[in-house]
Amino acid sequence: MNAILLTALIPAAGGLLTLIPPVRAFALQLLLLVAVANFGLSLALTIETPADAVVYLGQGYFVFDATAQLFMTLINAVFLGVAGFVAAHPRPDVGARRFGRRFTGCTLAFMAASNLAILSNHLLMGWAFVEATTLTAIPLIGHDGTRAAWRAAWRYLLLSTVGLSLAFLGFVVLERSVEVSAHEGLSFFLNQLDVANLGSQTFAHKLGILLVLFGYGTKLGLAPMYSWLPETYDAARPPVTTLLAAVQFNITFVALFRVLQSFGASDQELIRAVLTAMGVASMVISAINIVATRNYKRIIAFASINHAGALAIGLGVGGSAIYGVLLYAVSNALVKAVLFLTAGQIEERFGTKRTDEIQGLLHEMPFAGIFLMFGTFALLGFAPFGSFIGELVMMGGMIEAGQTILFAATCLILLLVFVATGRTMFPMIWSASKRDAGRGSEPFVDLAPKIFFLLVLLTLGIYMPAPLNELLGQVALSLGGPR
Amino acid sequence: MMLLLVAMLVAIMAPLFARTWRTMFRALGLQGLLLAVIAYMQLGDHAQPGDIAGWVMIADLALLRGLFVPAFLERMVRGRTRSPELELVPSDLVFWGISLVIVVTALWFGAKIPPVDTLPSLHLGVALTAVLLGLYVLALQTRPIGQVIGAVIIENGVVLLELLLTHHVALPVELALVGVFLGSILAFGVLLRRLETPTEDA
Repeated sequence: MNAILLTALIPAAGGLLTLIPPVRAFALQLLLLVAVANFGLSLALTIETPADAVVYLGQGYFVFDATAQLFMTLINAVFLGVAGFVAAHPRPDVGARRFGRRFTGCTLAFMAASNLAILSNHLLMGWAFVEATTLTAIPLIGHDGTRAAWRAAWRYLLLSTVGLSLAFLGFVVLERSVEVSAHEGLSFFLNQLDVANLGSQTFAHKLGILLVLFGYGTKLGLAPMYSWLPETYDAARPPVTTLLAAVQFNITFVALFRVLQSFGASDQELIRAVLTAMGVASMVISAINIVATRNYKRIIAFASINHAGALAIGLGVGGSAIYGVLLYAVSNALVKAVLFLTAGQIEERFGTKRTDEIQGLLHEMPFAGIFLMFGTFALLGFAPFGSFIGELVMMGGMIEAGQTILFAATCLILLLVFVATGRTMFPMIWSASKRDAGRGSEPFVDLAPKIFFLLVLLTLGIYMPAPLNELLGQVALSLGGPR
Repeated sequence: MMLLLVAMLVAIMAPLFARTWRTMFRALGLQGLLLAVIAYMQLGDHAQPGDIAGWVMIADLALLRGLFVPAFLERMVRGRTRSPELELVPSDLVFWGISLVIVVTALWFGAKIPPVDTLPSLHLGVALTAVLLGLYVLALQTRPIGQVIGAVIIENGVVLLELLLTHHVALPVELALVGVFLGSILAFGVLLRRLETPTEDA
């Protein structure tokens, strides 16, 4: 058995173990154990494998290349942080213990599907695994059993399914266009795609590409079908939101990368135009919503849409911006993990998600206040975090590509987001507390995952390790970035 | 084949003009069974020795989409809604007119994309009709029961388009696709049961 596939098999086996009643009592310990094993394994595999190596597995259905190395390590790092947070978090009531058991089973299935999605060397297999992560997340989103939670789960399922159906329709249309023009089937294996003979000038081919981008864009929370994202992120519990925002977002991003790696060269103009249009629309919509929202969880959710828009624009610009896109994507996974986990603790303490009902965070929950502050700084692209460098490289790419209007528009939207987010979030942190409550308990085990994420974020901004730089460069190269 | 495609077109349009959700679920089942027959005939045309994936697809269409989907969804909804009535598209000449325009546009579009032979054109047109009508239903519906019908119509349209292809996907991929569809239907059913409460009809 290849060690690479163990990254999916270990969580799958762990998930099956949770079906055995005696094991359920130790569900959270099992979750943590699997998370440690998976992160250790993915890190070791990434260190051991050269960045330019490409390893095929499972009769060619899976591939371990630079893209898989980078994102597998990233999602397993987030998984470890979330598992540590859930395992360490106090479980005072039966409901919380039941959540822990359900969380373990569904999260392990979710992670197995996520790792397989990243490893997929087949466009349709990758699609199926992305859909599988959607299905495993449903019980977690609706766990609270309230009508609002089930409604959020419903909207998430419906829009994800419709979006992914359109992406699948796109693949079918692509195959049809190839059959008509070349009289032979389209191989969905990434390494067998002969893009030169795909008949990319036909209308059907272009329609196929458009549908795939639109479908995966929906799953990323890009406009116009973004409405599921704020509702779902708001309704789900913080560890679930973190998994959706930092893990599922990135595996969908990898699925999109695989399409770009296959068709990016032959359909460059169309892909760039569509991604840029979706990106700008998403940024505008999210900025307006950030200005109007007074719910801090929703603000972070709309900021996620904003980031997805910035990433889509970066991919649309191409060239040197691609490296920035990758750094921004990696950084944002960690930023969202820090912010959503912190938001959960704040909600637990204050019993509200309204920004105007929370004051004196630094007084009542100093660590949560600090994490929210640094998380918001990183969210807004402040130095010295990795997101700052990523944003800077993307902006540089726009100038280099001669996209000055796009550059100006992006700057304007980012400025609006900066003012709106700061105006709403910073008073929560720095204002004087109006209630007579003492300092809340913040055990170190709860803080450890967030410290880990923030340290990685700082490292990405201050000192980029050479092997990671090489890995990012290799992924950027596969997406049409400069050598 | 021509007759089957016309029957499929009728089965796709039937839920829009039906007045009860039971009839709509049965129309979805009919769509699945017709898809299975079309797939069987296609497999005969392009049969390859040991094409297990093709048989898995036929079983998926007949058993899962044709029989299981309507029965399961009906079971999930039964007892949860006060009224047996449901309007996917408002009974209004304007909305029916839009439906008709969608059908005509999809069929016209199918005829314009090469090759322009009658049968593939009709096949493509019917598949596009399903996808577009499904999206139209989703745009109009606020009730989960109506939304799930729209989503399944889209799924059936995508499969009908897939049947137009002469090259089938490999067995592992087909199994993954069947698994994902089954999982989606189970999730839709469970959520439908929780969200479709009698108060919705009041």
